Amino acid sequence: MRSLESGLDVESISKSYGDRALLDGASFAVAPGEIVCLTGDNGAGKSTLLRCLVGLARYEGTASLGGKKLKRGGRLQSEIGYLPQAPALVETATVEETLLMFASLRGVDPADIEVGEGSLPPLDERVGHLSGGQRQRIALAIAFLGRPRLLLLDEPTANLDDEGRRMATHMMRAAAERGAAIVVVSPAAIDLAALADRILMLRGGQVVEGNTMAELIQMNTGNVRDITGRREMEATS
Amino acid sequence: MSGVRTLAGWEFRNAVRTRWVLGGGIAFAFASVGVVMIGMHSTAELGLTGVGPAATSLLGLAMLLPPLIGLLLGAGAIAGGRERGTLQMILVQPGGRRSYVLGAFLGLAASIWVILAAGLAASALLLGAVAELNDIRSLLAVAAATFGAATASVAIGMLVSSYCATRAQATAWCVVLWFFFGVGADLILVSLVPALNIGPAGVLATITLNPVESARTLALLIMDPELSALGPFGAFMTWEVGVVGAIAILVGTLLAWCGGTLAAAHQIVRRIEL
Repeated sequence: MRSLESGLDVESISKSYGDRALLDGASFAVAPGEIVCLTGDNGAGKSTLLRCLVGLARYEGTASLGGKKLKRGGRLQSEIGYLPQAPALVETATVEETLLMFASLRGVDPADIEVGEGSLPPLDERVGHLSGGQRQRIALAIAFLGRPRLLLLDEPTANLDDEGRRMATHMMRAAAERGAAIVVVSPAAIDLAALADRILMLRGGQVVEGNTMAELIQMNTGNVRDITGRREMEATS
Repeated sequence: MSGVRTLAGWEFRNAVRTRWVLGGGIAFAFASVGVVMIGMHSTAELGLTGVGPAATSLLGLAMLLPPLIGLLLGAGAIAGGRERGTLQMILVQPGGRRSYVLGAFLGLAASIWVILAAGLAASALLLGAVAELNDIRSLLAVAAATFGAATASVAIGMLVSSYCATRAQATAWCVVLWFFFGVGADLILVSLVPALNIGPAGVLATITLNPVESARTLALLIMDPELSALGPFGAFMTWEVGVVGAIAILVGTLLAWCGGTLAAAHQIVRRIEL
């Protein structure tokens, strides 16, 4: 795997639950300004990999950002924006209270919360009254708070309508343009084909290069495993 | 430190929003006013003056209800966040897990202080009608012990919460602990002291193992500096360390309960994987 200076560099990350090795020496790198889509089968360990990188799970191996080692709760935490697969927010709080709390934790001026006009639900609405898509928009806004250098987004377009997807895509592109390294997890790479610079696939606990965007779009299929399998057959024949 | 302040405010507002503060405040205010009225009635029937019996009755209540509220508030903090999934959104933010534990504790402690202030203020209004100047000491003693026991209970509840996977588990364990600290430990002490002959020093050591008993003893010490109510144990305390020394030991005990349990909770939270 190539190592990219100043971006995210993941070296031989392993993670087991009991006897089951979910990640087995996974290595990859993401350059600043690059959007990488991480795909793989359900249960392959995509979300676990993100949780390891963001410090929610312990792991073996090393990960660094800008040449500095990522540590749980370390100083680099403020440089990482994370969107979990199923973001949960306090239901009794309003949208405004939620955003202000996370903005305060990240030391961000509330005026700098990055979302398009009208993209968020009414600020005085209680989170418990919102739809899944509206909650996803709030969680996205939280992940992008403070313009982090590394964005780890687990299925960012889940639950979003067309307008929400456009908003998420715009936010990711804008973040990449200002130099953020972005890892987007999606079980179906075709969903993000137009956005990602590269596709990585998690298979057998290791990260392997997937198909190029052009290949994916050309084949026009959402089943990445089929495409990869076909490519492997072509290579062996 | 700003992260701690933010999280403390967040936890406090959550407690207010979920009606814990309102419900707890009303319950404690009603109970304490009721206990004080009964105490005042008894005082009047016996032809006595002052707030002594009423304050003692209030102390009895204060060593039961506030520790339970504190334990339950703490029980819901970490396990509840883990169960709902909100914890992972907070733990990935800058500031780390120590800020989270400290911030959550301060927010919950502040919310129980509001509850206690409501109840004690309502009682003080009633007692103010019959109180004499030297009764202020008794009222302050009850207040100090109540705040101390409740705050330590929040910290203990958080430790239990950090260890349990679900809020229901944490709540169940906290109810068991509440019974132990409030009643069970006393029963054990009463039955073991004569049999084991542990002496006054042993009694003091045993008291420091129970935050509620430490708070109760602290209140009795402030109310009655000669410690006549505590019998031979009181005589031992005043002889060995003096009243100020005894107060320092008991206040230190309550602070140690808060600090120790929070440090233990932090160690567990540090290891939590989400």
